[in-house]
Amino acid sequence: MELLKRTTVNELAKLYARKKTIWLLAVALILPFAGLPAVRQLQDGLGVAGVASDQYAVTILNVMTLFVLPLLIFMTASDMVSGEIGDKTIRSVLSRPVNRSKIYAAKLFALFVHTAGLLLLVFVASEAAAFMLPDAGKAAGGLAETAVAYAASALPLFVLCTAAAWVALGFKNASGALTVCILLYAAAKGLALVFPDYMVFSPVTYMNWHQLWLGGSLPAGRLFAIFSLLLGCGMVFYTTGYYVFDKKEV
Amino acid sequence: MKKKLAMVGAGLTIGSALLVTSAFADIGGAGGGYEAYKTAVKTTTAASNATQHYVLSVKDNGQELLNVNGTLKESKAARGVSGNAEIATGAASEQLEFYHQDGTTIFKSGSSDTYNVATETDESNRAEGHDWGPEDPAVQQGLEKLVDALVGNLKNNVNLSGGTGGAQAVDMTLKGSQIPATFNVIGSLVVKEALNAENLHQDSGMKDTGVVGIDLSRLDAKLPRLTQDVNIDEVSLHAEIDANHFIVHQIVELAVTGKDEAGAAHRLTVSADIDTWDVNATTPDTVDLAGKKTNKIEADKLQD
Repeated sequence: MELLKRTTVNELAKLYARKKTIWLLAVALILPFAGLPAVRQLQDGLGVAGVASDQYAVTILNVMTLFVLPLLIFMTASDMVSGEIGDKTIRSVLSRPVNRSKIYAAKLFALFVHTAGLLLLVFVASEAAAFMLPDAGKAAGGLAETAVAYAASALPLFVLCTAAAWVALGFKNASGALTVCILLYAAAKGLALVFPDYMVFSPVTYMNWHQLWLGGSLPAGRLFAIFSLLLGCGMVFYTTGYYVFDKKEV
Repeated sequence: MKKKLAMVGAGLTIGSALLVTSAFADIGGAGGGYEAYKTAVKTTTAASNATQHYVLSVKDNGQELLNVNGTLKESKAARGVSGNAEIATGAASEQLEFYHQDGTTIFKSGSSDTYNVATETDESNRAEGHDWGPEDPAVQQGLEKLVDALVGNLKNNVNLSGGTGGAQAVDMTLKGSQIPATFNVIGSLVVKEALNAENLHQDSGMKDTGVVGIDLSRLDAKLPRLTQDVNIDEVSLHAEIDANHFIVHQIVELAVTGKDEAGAAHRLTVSADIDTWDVNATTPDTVDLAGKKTNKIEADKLQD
């Protein structure tokens, strides 16, 4: 366990040693504030609340889970897996006295921690932004519910992490893996327009399942079904990914 | 090596078991309520005739401002409509009868015995204009898919409950941030524009009694003019569907909050309660104008 923890810390240290990661964290921090002028314009110019301050953070989360966070996850996963395979730096990791199952797990844990950190950052930033809206008085109203929504949104993002790492294993350069991840994600989202009936079985359909956790009455059966689907997908991606990683010649 | 294989095997087994569980937990039936409602809407709109009783009500902070209730008999095949309505705003109320028969539209106010008759001269043109699009099955299917995609995961908020003898009930309530932001913005704008529309508040426009022969000025509903923070707060739908997939009873409610120019907060609730019966067994009433007082009105005035 100690070994796994240290390998994860090692992966995170590599991740945050990149300037790019810090810049992208800054972007995630600023984006919630970028939505403010648009909402203010609606409220002052058109007189409609559009997004009330107690709903602002959830609206930001809807946009974030749709494409901003998946994009950041794809970038990180491709750097962490394809990038290291491509520039052979993965050899220095493999030469340590840690077996490959722990290395692959540590990479994914690092991805999860990074994703959770991003979510926390976006949560804090968007709640702070909500207090800058004219009707800030009720911004504190939906705080608990919003926190639940943010926590719930982590699960489909974690599944996306396992899927992105799985795709990235097949590439020797980060940009190739990133491009394919984005294309696959866009295709999966686009297919929903053509085959709405089959898309209930696709994990990307549930990127915004956090919305089901809002509004007081939780549809328990539905939540359970989606939870098992997401967990199942995550496990299948993780185990097959590990198997490929274990057999890989680098 | 054996340990590794066991781990991979266990992971795959548990993972696939979970996937199968989700399938059994009826994830494919997501939006069963939505599908049932969609089928019912299609069946109901395809019915060639029906009788409906409707109650429309607008409340502001719990006080009723406007209430319309009446009966409507409609037959697509006979191109006929007949019905009556009682419009009440606080103390004032007005009765209205209307018919559409043989290409003419007839209105009669409860307080007079004159029938106002409007003849449509461009009936054929108008029918043609309506024939594009929605009737075409390909366009209809495309639209349906588009709507399905737009509805997306909101399907999960539609609950279906079974009743006796194949009857079903569909319920959906969306509150606050569950309402998609785009819908909220567009909806709020529409509501705001409707409340601030000129003719709603300008008495001169309403005093024109010539058009349908009814003095609508008595019926100024005193709807508040919301100018700030207009927001759609809650949308709810309750529909009862019978064994033949007809919607027999439907309640739609919309709650809008906002502030008027004086800064006072309002919560407007608009609700529609519609009962449907005699599906495919309705003949609209007709009125025989022979020997009755009539007043010809220009059809194009009605379209304004």
